[in-house]
Amino acid sequence: MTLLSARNLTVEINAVPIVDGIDLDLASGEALGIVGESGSGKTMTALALIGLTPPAATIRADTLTIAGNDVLALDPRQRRALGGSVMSMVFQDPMTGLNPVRSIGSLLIEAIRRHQTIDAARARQLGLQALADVGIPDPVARFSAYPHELSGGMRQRVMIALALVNRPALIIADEPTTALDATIQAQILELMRARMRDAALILITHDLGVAAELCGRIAVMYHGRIVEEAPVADLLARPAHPYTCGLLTAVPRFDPARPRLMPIPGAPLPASERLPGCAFAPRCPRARDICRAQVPALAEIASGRKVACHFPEAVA
Amino acid sequence: MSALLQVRDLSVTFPVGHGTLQAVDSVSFDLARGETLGLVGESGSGKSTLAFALMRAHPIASGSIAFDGHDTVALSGGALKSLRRRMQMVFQNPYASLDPRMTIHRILAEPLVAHGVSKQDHGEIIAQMLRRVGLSDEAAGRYPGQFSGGQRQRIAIARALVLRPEILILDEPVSALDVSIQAQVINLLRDLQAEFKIAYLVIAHDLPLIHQISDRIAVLYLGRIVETASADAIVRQPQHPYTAALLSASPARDPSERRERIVLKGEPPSPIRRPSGCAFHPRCPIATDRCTVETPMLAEAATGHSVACHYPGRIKSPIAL
Repeated sequence: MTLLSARNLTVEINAVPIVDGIDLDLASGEALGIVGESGSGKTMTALALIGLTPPAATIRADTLTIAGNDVLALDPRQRRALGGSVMSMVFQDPMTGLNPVRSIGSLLIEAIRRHQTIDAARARQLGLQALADVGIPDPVARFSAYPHELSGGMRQRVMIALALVNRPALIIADEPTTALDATIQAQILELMRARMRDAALILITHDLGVAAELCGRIAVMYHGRIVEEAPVADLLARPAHPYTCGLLTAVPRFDPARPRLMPIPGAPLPASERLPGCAFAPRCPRARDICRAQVPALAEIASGRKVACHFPEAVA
Repeated sequence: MSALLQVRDLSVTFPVGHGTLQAVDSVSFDLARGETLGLVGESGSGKSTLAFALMRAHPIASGSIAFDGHDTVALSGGALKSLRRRMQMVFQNPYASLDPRMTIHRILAEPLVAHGVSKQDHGEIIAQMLRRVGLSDEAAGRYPGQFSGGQRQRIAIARALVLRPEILILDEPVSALDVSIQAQVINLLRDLQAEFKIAYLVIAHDLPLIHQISDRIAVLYLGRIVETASADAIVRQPQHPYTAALLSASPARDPSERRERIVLKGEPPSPIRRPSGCAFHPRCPIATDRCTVETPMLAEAATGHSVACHYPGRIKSPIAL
């Protein structure tokens, strides 16, 4: 069943398209990774879906439906009501994602009672259960704690508890483990894998490895557009877009030979700059005249595989 | 190979409330000329404090640091200044480490001025160094804000190198940069090392990256080195369960690299409340009663491979090398 469908989703800030006409489809329970570097538009995509874009942003789309709601037709109050119940968000930095002057318990009770008509005692019970479910030791003691009294890892667990507490159909997580230490990142990834089974997930990350652990499908964004979309194993084994290929060969992996890394030359084009052709062409080893003249459309090259490139790698 | 830098039993403490916090606890290591030592550890492991102590930017509680055979702990004034000429540092965030109101020329000239290099040579030295890190001469007249993150890190590296130091301490040199840019900077660092024969002390949390650039690796936990060996031995035959867990925690980057993850319990404890015995025991999957009372000493398990664990080698490497 389709949970989310976006056609030609565009987010502009001061007439600069940060997200430039992307299509997204997500089935119930599916996990999609949106991978990109800074400035690729991945975070703005997430904010547009959840309805938290900055005031200067304009969102347009041919269609944007989430759980049967025509999102762009809703008034702000109805739009807000979707947040927390139908979908919820986990942010990168749990210190800014949690209100610092509210106790963990009051944040949870407020979130629960905003969407469920139950009394305070029952809400407290649900809140304590939510903390236990995300592996927080001694939930009763943590209930009256404030965010700053918890470690980064514990705060991220609280944020995940808040995101899950109303059993949303969709969770959007923006770099949920980036700010955490390696061993804590491992814990949070395990937790997300175990606890987010029922909900669909959109994971925003710069790390293909993290996306590969949690997601079945990955969309790679560059300069506001999706340049490649594929099932995770296919994408990692046989990337089709030269940018995806470059991302995979640029990272060091454990190899005793320590081969010289193969960086992608140059730097990403700023969002405010437009090219007549492919935005990746200035950095692309395979670029030819047509790449500099004509933007390649995202086209299906094999079952479940899409790429926006005039000269993609063979994937069959 | 005589060690260029010889660190013995180095400790750094901070006063907190009524007690002291032991941020670096009896750390010993050698760094040879032209060699790269990677320091791995999580927040609170003391790795950045250790770097500042080596630069003599933090007071040292006890222990010794010998640079080229000379003790640096007692240095002050002019002698300390000439030590810093031979040992420079590059920081994580090139957006914070370069003064936005200074031109690139002034940023690179500052260390030259501080160390009395004749002003008429500045132009040539700076132009050469900018070209060497992959920027054009014209960069000298511009401001940091006109450069991308990767270019700024090149400028920070150029600033660290204008005095031709023998040791460069790099604190998370690429972690603020985008993936596609990181490899450019890593390759540059490797080329500069080959050309100038500089020794690197690289602090990072990314183990594949540390393995890529280091000859040897030291793993820090709560202020102590818990394991040190050649980079390959750390990955192939980790002896400490913490090292094995760190290796397993780095997300696999291709499907063939898929590995069993060792998920540790809990979080690194605060150095203010250091656990008894082995500080790692509350999180260790193989700890016994002995580990809660008896502190394991760093001891050689094989040639050049030392570990501080009562049960070394019990957890096998999750990485097939």
